[in-house]
Amino acid sequence: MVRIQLLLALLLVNGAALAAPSFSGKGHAEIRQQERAGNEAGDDLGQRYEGLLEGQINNGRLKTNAILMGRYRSQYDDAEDKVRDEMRSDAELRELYLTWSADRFEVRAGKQQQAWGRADYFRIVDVWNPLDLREFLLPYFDNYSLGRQPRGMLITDYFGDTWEQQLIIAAQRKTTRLAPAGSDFAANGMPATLPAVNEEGSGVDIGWRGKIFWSGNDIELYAFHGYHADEMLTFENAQLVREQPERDMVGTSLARPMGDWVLRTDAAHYWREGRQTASGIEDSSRTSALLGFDRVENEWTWNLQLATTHWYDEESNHDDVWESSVSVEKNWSRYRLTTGLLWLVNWVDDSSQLWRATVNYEFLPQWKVGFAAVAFDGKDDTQFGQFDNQDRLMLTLRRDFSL
Amino acid sequence: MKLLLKSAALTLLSLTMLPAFAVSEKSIKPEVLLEQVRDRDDGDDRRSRMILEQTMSDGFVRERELLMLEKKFGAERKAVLYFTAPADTAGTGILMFSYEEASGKDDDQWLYLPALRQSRRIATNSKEGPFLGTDFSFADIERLRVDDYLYEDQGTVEINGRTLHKIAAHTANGLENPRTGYSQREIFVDAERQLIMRDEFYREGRHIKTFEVTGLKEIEGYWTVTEAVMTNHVEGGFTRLLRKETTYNVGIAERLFNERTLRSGIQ
Repeated sequence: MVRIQLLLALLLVNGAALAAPSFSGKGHAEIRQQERAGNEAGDDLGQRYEGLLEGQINNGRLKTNAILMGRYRSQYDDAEDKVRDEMRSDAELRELYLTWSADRFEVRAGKQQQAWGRADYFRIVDVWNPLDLREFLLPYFDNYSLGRQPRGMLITDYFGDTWEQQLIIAAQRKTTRLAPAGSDFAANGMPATLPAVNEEGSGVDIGWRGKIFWSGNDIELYAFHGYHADEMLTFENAQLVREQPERDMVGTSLARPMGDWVLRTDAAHYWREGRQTASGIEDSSRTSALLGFDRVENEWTWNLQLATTHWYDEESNHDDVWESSVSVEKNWSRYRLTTGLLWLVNWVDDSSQLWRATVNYEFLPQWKVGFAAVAFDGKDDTQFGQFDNQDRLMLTLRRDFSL
Repeated sequence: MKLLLKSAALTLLSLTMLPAFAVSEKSIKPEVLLEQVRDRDDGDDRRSRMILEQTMSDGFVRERELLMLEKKFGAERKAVLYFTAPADTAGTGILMFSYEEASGKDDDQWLYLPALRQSRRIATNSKEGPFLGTDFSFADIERLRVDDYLYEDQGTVEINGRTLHKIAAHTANGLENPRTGYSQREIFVDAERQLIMRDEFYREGRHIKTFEVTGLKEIEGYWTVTEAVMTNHVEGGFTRLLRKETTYNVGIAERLFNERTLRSGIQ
């Protein structure tokens, strides 16, 4: 209720100041037919429908943004005894925030998202918005912002002559949204009923980012104090409860051209980081780093990434994690055709991988048809291997429109 | 899509930079003419609304609209391109810093992708690729670099009732310039209006593209290209670049030329 009142207040403040507001908006509608690849057993995947509306009201220094989104998945229409209702359909006001801009300041308040860092897929310093993993991000590899969960935040930017500085305060708690037990992308060991949330494990996230453009280099520094995006299981008064452990992080990013390539890096040290173990939440620490290279030439786009994480705790055997990605996209603009290949690899004790191939064709202005094939590989206890029986083919029809 | 977004930002510049070739009528040495074109006075800043209309060889028409801000910072020029239509491109932004040719520095460019909510640094070493999938390349729309070619004055010709200086340009070794992808050009300059009115591009002796100014208007004392066409002789098709609204010296704030504007957009 408090959040609703806050949002209404934001709208009223903006509306009162709107002498001659301008409006711009856009959206998309999408239908996707999904099929299981190979001879894998399982329910008919059926269709997935998605609609999104995005609007912006401008009046000088004030601006209001809103994004409304709805989804429906026919696969879960008759499977309510196996999965929670959330997988059948949902609709939400994803984002609603007010922006006030001055010469050197900008303030954004409301439900929104903020991306930190230079990495794709691997979240080295991107700590603010938890992910929605109910469909393992498969619909959102190309539109990662829809895979993030917006949350209530107050973001203040100061633009100095040399440094840009950003302060973020997020009081609203959000957690990584996992696929419920019984659904296709439910993680191994996902309980049918989740334990209660430990209310004591809640608080405010606060973070700072400084940014400078120096001698051709984009350099960013980060500091964060708050809570892990993932809920973990622990015991509280002999009861199993869910809790977001605290985390503290400092990090940095760099991006700069190197000949035909662009180098980008993220690095972070979490000196306090919770980790799920069999006995509960282990108070640990870790260092993560990513090295990436991008190249765009003659309608070819290459993205290469290698990331690693080292844990400093003593109890776990999984002290090092390696991840990598290779993405190649070719835009055949003469034929309104785009093809892409993505390869994600995760290695802890064993390696697992995800392959994704796509072909998209614009057959009319703002009308696209796309085909995608996704394959998982690895042992059952690995990140991608646990979904080894979820290989699938997807045919998508999408219409983008302006409002 | 990333490439498309990237090219969108650059396309805007083409309208700006190509018509910006200023020439002194009394100068006949090609290098001097083109240096004057490169350093032409386009005002302290400029705001424009641009339309990029691409007609492909099969008749498919793709149109993009964008707002563009440009500003001089001494010998440096900065530009922001913000796409407003169509829906699948709207919200994309490009930030470009162009440095003085004598400095030897490559441009710096950033691309904002609304789908990622992040800015990406763009490598600018090679610019022969198509800009937003159009018939313009990144090299076509960047700030003129005189040192890319050797020049030869070929006298004057009459085109559409105007006397134009014809300049032949070629690389020192006769091979294609690795940054632009062209080995030879024929440039037609209107010395009185201080503009390049026509530019023919060659690769390995083959005429591959022709740029032509098809609309010109004096706005607030500055000759401004309001329409230009790039015809692709290899792939077929052409791209029209329209400048619908232009205002000069409006006092565009310096603060707008950073990544913040890419995210927030131009009003």
